[in-house]
Amino acid sequence: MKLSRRMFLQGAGGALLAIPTLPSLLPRAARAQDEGGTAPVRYVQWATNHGQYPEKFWPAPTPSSEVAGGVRSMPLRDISGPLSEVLDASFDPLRDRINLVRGLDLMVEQNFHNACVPTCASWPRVDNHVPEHSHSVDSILEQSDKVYPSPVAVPALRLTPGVNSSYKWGSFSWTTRDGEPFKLPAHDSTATAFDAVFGNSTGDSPLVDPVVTARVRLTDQVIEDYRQVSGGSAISSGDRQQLESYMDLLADVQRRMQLQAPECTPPGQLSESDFDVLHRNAIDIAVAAMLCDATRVVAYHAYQGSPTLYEEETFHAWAHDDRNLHAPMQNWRYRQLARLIETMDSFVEANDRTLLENSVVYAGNELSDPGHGGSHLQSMPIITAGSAGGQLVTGQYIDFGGRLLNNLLVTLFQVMGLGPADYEREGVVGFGDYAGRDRNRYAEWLSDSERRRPLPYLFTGA
Amino acid sequence: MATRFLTLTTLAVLAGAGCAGVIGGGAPDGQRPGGPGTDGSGAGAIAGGAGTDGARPSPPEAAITDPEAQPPRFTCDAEAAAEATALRRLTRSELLHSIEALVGADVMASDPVTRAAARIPLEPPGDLVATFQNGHAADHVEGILLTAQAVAAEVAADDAVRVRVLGVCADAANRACAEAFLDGAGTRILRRPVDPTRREALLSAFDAEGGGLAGMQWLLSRLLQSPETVFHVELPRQRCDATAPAETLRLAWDDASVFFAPLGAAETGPQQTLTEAGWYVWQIPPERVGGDYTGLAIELSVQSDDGVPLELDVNLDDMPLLHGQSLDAGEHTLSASVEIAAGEPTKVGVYFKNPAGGRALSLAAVTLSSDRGGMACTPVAAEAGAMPLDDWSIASRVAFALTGEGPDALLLEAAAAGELGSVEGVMPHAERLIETPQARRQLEAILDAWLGLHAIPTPHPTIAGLAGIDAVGLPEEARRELLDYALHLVFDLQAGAAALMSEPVGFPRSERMATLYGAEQAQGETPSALSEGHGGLLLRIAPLLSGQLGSSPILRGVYVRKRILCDELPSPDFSIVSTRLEQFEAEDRTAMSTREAVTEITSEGACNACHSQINPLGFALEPFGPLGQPRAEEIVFDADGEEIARHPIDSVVENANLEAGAPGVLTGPEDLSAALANSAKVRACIAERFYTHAQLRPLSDADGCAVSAVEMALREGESIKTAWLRAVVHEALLSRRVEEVTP
Repeated sequence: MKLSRRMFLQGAGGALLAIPTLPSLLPRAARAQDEGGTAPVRYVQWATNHGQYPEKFWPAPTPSSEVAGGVRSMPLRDISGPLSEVLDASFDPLRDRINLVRGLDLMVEQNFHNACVPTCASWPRVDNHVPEHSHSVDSILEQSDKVYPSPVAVPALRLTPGVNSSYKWGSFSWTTRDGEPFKLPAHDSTATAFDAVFGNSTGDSPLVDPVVTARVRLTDQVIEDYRQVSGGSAISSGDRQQLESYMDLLADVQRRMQLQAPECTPPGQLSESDFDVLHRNAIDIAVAAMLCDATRVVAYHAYQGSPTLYEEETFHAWAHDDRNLHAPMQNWRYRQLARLIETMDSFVEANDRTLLENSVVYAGNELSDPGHGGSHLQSMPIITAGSAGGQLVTGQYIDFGGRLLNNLLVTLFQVMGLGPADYEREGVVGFGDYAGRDRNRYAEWLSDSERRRPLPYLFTGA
Repeated sequence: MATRFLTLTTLAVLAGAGCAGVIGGGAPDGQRPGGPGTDGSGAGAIAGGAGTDGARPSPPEAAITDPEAQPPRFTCDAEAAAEATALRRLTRSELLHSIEALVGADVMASDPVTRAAARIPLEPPGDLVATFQNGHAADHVEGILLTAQAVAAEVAADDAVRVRVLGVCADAANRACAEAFLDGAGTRILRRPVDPTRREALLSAFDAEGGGLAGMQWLLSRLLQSPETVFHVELPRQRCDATAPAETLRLAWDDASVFFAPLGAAETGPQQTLTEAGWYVWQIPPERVGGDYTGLAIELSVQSDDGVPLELDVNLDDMPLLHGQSLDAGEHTLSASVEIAAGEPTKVGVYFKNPAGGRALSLAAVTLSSDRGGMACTPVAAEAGAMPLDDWSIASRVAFALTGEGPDALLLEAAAAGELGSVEGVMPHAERLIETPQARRQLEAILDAWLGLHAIPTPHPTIAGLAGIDAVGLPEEARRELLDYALHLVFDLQAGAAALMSEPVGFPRSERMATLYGAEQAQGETPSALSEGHGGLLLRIAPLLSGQLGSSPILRGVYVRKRILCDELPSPDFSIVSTRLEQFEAEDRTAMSTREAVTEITSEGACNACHSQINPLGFALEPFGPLGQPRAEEIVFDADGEEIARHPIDSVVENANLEAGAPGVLTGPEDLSAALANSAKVRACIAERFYTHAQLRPLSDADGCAVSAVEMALREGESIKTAWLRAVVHEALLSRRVEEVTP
């Protein structure tokens, strides 16, 4: 069942909406949809850990039709039975909305890994879980005026439901601060995510809301306190940099608190009796935030292994030695992804496309080979969903035959409206790491023009 | 075709271990594992033992008694340069604990505060020393803002808390009330007195918010997110020298800086001769008064040409000196003076009552004078690259290191009195703080980070089921038990390193923990005796638990190397690991024990370089099963949890490679525990962990002097508690590297 915006409004008036996964999301209006029948492209980054055992993740048939040079594909609907043990029947209704992508690699020198491999396209030089190229796609997009011509309350909604995002595996979002890698935090609790998106919504304009105006006044004064200390003669340049960074962030928070709150009724939240419900709530918040245009960038991390199991040491052991326990763990996680995709596909926006169709969902994994052995970061397990407003093909099982993962991230920037000047960092042409062994193997993809080229076939150029 | 059985423990095992390179951490002078003294040809023996050549170790001694055989890890290089580090932010728990110390636990537990504080991102679990990220994201900033406001609102709303935090006057607070709050609680919040300029700004904000309770709430929410609250702001010690009395400052009637106006009227500018009745005021701005002047004088001349007496009042600095004074006709010169408070704006008021005709008053000058010297303060010069810190900074350092929160009132008093400029001045406060409940909490944080207590696995359900143990929640009970043990040893028994590593007591507070230990349930603060081979920091349920169907010698060996000995292990080549795992899966486990299988897959090639250091320590622990219970034989299960074989336990290792001077032969856990109790590496490791936790950063070369003193204290048999004090209170506590404070 698909819901139009009109139906949301009817729902607000009392009609019963039988939305299976989002029963109480009733936006009064969606600003993104009020812009003359158009809708912006949203980016959803979904990630998990521990790699995939190939026979448990990939479908048995392999793509055979060459659809572009070195690129083979087959329709997902042509695969009989469930796609795989991990991608079970939950994905059957979604096959026309997604792509299963294989044959994309990251060049590496060492077999270290880190959470940001899929979204930074970078590997750590020592075993410290810190990416060398510490910029993730979401951290670039949230700062882009191509994505946000005008500011929004939550430039990037980052969710690691139930997991401390500062844990070494807990966040896929990195940026740099003062030239050093900096891991961006995410909401481990749905309550804090809910507050971040909907917490300031009082119905009043923030310009007259006494709580907001007082908070603005207060932050002005706190910024002045920082300025005074920062200007002290006994403060070193390093200290001053820290204080000024805090001031900048406070000013940013202040700007955002003055934005008009999303005109939405927040989604209802269920009592979180297990991780299934936790993710249901988190997905509802994420989808509502996008529908209300509170954000256009969502970074989501699924890390539990069942409705009741979250234990890093156990998962780690399964990744290395027990494919039979590893597969159900991954299946549970990917069912959360299916739910997210399905929910996004349940809402029709003003341009008569669903939220999913107006979006690109990129689902990745920190690893391919769970043991990070001989096929480390080769043929990364990737799913995309949504067409980014018609810019991406869907419904296909695509094998790129050993191209660089970096080009997928370039493709994502492309569909979000960013060019090289917008996403390139630190003098790197393209995006991410281009250092590692087997350089000859990837030589044809390493010229400047190839690094900046979106993936053929997947990107339709529409 | 070989039957495939239960796979790893040993596999994941490999992931955490190193298969190449050299381990041994900081063992000095090339005396690394595998070097002289570790292979049975020992260069010396530990006290009471028969050497390293296959002999079992002696019972633990408090001190290292043969220091030549077991050299220290750290050395003092006074010339070593420290790297500049930026001002550190408070961790989330440091910030929240500090606020809680001020406002109380009830406020922090209230729903609005809890919800707001949840917006402040968590720190990484585990080894915070290695993983702490010294920077803020917008989430931190917003979370702190919301928390400050929520705390202030809760404080204002509760009668008792309001009085305690904001003062008895808070309900209808005036400026004096606000000033008292800033001078009292403000100092506690900022951990130093409120800067005069800031103080004025805060009071202005208090007024602007209408004063009263709302104004007080405003002040609190602003202070709670101030830079001094959120960061460890450390400032140089100031040297203040007496200066000669200031020269007298004479301000002529037309001095441009002196405000002049008829009282209540707009400024008219300088006007020497007054011929109209009324009050006239000369206001001297504070920047002209300065901090040194103590006297104010005025010189006037009056004249009356019409024979009528003059009448006037003169006030100096609001003090009436002449009141209704009548002066005979003619010309008079008069002067008056008064003592003033240094540094405050001052004014002269003259009430000229009856001018008329030829009666007039002329101001000659206002004079400021000083009868005492002033104070000139400048930062104390750096010595040997170290810039001495002020007492407030030192108070914060010692308080956070020992209690995880800001200084208490006594420490702040000592800072205000200038008593913290030396180790001798700080130590009494450190000795007081270490006896507080907050110090116990802080020790738990140190142990959590050091021993990785966040990552205790849940036992495999098959193994737990066979033992009749409910596995859910067991890791937290095991963690708690270890912490109770360590706190008991450190605080109650004043234990040294040897006892910490060997004492056969525990605190199994649940039935299942008591079952696993084979001991009585502990009640209160009294430990239970452990009689089945458990004891010390290592031979406890928490470090011994496995999440798999068997024990894991490699994981256990890695744990001892990295956690207990602070050895560094390089990351393995995971391509080789994968190959070895496949090999392991193919082994016939009906014929091979875990030890044999592990030996088989790790003994060749580059793997052996590290696994010769790892495996023996794990093999010595094989008499404990995957639940940490003693066992007489190893039961092997297949992947479905079905028993497929039993093997005898072999826990004898010939080349333990523990460290220089340690025994080469270990017959099992008891020997390993005893060797650790006598270990120089263990003492160095404890010193490093306590020292680095106080800094919240890894060691640098410049830390050698401070950390080696802690190591030496432990080697000489001092208690852990004393060593902790040494790790916090030392000469380096009193200063910051000069490049860190030079703008």
